[in-house]
Amino acid sequence: MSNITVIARKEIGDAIRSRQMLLLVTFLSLAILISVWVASASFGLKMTDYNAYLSALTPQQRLQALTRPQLFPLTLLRSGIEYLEILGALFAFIIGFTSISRERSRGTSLLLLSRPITKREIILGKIFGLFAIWSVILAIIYAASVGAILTVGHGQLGAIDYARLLIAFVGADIYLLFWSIFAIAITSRMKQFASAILVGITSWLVVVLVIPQIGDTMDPDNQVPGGLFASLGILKSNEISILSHFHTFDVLRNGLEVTSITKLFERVAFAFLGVKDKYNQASLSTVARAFGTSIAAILILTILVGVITMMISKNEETLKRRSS
Amino acid sequence: MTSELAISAKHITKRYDDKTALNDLTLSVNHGEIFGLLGHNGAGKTTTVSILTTLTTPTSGEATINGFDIQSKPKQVRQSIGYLPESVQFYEYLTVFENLDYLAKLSGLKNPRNRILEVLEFLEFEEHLNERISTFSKGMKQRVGIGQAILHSPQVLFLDEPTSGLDPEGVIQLRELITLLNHELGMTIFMNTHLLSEVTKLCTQIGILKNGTLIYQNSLVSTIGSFDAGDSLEDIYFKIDGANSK
Repeated sequence: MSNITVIARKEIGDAIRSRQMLLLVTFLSLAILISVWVASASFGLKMTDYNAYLSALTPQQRLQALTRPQLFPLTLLRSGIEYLEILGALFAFIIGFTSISRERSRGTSLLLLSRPITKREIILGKIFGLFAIWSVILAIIYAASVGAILTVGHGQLGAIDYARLLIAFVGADIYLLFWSIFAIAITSRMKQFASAILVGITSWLVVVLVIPQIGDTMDPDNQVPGGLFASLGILKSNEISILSHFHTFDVLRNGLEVTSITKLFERVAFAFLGVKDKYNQASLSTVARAFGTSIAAILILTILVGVITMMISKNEETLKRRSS
Repeated sequence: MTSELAISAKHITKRYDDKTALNDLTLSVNHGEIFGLLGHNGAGKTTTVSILTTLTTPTSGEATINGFDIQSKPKQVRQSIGYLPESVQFYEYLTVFENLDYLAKLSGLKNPRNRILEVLEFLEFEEHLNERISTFSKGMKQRVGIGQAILHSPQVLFLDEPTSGLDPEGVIQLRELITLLNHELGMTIFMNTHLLSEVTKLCTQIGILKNGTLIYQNSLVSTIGSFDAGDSLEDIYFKIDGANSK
């Protein structure tokens, strides 16, 4: 067993024992599952109404009845994804922070560093451990969400839907890993834990809340509930034509949004889950083509923060300081 | 790899910003010795151990442990040494076995169970194998601390103020253990202390650090022999220390 594996396994063991971890994960899971359950219940009512309407019709009328409404069960995950974006990022940061701070504050980092292993192996072990932890937590949350959609919402999911779910799951895993690695980087580097928390919370506020909020505010379609163009009765084709007159503004707004990994993750997840109307019937390859750049950006940002963390771990004082 | 000297340090200097923690330290320790590094608090003893155990890099100078250069071969150095920090801390929520198992695997031991049992038997601590460390006294933790340091059978053991915070009984037990490690397992021992009584009872070689500078190194026997017959080690220490203050 390599040193990285040994540390990763220890990280997983610590997470299982940690009350803080249990509390955060329970809170996050409940927030997501309640949102999916509520959405599924509403979806289930719509399905029941529709089925009742159908059964009330005579066979003759059924032939002339309205076509089955387009209901996309995966859109029920919208609020869950938003919780992952906001709370998930915060909790991933806290868990990454704790992973380093507890070694330093307990003084156990000295024992680790006196072994014939490198700081890089320690950091990598922790990253792999956290990746495994997030994978399991997300798998449970996703499975429970699907369960709610199927049982409470009576939604029907096909193979393509499971593929969409899998892509959104991987995206969420990488997104949360980004925040945990970021926490490891700054906690390893900062002399004081308080400084690390301050930098972390500020970054979380800017990336998760401020930038996406500014982007949303700049979006003309967000100015009126239900959408500006829809409320004015403007067709989609005309909307595109109107927006073409505001190209520079739109480039600016888009440019701002893509600086936030949260917004990138949201775009990708919403597109693959069909939360965005435009993509709920599109093939996976169409969505992948449309969001290839965003997917690449998420991967690059995560790899970049990982590389920076590895470079920081070269520093002599990394992991060693004890502070409070 | 074998080398004539267990520890060799040449012109080691360590600066933190504008403060010099160690100044041109040169010392050597032969295999099988128990070397005691004496000095007041803040003299640079812990910095010396940190550098020799590769936990801190020196600003200048070079050192080898068992022939391995501390800067170019840190992994090999750590493989050949054991280290007991001044206030050893463990994963308190884990048992003795779980702590040692984790640290043994990180020291490269594949199936460490037998080795852990062997070490605990040597330390006469095997009955505590499955107890959580959180319930232990300082003396018991120090014993586990020695255990983690010798798991991988190192040739050199670094002990930073090993008796600090122990009650008299704990001090005696630890002293016996250190003697046993040296005599039975042939380990070279490098210990930091500010307690002269420890040095008298344990060490074969002594070094005295003052304000980051090594002002004296000799064998204990020669040291005692080169001063007045009635001088205790305390007297000798203050004579050396006083001579260097002038």
